[in-house]
Amino acid sequence: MRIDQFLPTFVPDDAIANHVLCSRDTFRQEGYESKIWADEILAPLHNQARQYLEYSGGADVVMYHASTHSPMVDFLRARPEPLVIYYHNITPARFFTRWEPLAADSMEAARVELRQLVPITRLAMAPSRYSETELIELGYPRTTVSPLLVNFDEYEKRASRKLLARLRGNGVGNGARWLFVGRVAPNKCQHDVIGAFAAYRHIFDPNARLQLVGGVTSDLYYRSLRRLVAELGLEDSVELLGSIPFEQLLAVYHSSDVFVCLSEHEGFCVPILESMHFGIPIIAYGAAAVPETVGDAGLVLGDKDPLTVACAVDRILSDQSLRAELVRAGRLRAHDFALPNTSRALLKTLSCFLAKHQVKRG
Amino acid sequence: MEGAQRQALIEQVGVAARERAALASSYLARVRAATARLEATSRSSSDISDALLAVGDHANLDVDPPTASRWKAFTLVKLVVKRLTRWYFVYVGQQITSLGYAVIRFGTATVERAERLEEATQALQERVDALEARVEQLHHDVDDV
Repeated sequence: MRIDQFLPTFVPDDAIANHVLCSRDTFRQEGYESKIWADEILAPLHNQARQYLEYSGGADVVMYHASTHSPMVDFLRARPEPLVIYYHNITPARFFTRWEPLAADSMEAARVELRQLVPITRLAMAPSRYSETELIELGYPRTTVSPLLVNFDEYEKRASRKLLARLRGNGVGNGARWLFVGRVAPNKCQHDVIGAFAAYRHIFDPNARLQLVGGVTSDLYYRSLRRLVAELGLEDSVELLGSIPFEQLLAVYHSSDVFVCLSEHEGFCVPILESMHFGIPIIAYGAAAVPETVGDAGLVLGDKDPLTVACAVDRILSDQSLRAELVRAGRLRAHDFALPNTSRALLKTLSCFLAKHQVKRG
Repeated sequence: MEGAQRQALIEQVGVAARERAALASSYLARVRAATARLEATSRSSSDISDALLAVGDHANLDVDPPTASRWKAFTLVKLVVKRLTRWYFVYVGQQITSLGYAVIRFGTATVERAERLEEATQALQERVDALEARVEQLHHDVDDV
């Protein structure tokens, strides 16, 4: 029995790539054969996947990870193997129209492709009810929620000591350390995080610091964020760290006091789980899949006015028992998403699918 | 945390925000205005004001590119290239930024003129409609006589 996975881009330290790798390992441990096929494969993952145009068939099930526009969709539509898709979500184009018109067009194209896959897809999976609803609205007849696989063992690796020392040393007068992790993209609304941070610093804590981690999806939005930081006089307290090596990401998590997510669109948001794992309390704006991911382990706000967010952060950081309760709830929530639990759920979903479609394990 | 407890907490946060609102109102107004300018969504792809806003966004050239990289050697190379070429890009960048602002001024003037013409056309159309109605009424009156 062989389950092959296809994804457009295979990038290291990326949530989708990590999910695909964990899925492959899970399938193999269960006795399935499994390979990864991608269009763009970035170092050091070259030996983990192969170019999809070299694919010659042989799988009993093909799983496509949909998240972006890709010529791979036409290729898969012509394949005879039963198709399962895992929908990681596609950011609505309207978020990019102003900033990156080409990216907006690409997202529109990705949605067209997602619709084209409806008639040939046997099962459509999504990491959240929010994304599953989109699949149902598109007309997918068989859908299910199957959690994203995150290997928390990786987070036990040693953090960058140099960065950890620098970040902890920066907390002059023990100012609060805010964090948001996510690609620099308009739907992630880093500008709102900066605005809320400015209000917090002005009203509650002049020594507070903000770290924004994540590669740049929109250059223009990134430049606008830098101008915003300068305009609000926050050059010394806000760091746009970009895409950083994993050991540095660990250092940032180890040194943060609160995770603030004001995204307007997320298909799941793995950094929320990561923060829970590291015992960082979460404050988030309740949009898209975020309330689902946070569950009861964080404070989900109905509006993201800078003052409201600033007051929420102050409340959590100044009320020790509340903070402890949120940290405890976060760790429990992260445990729900521990790899043994999520991989079991994935296997259960696929076993049911295989049994229903009478694809027998050989 | 129970749902009711969480709701109470969110309400307390709202009360705290209202209490603090007056303390830093001018600064908060500045922050709100600055962040609102970066709102992600556009009203419509054919909206002329949004299109002009996009020209404004693109007119601000950044000649200070990020140098962070996953590999230290690349970071170093980027830093060296940046330092060696900065004078050149600042020189060219200033001219392109000025050109961008000139385009925005031209666009703004064009939009304002088009809006004035639209208003004038609308007023003229209303007068023509009224005159047509009056002529029709006169025709009826003549027929009745």
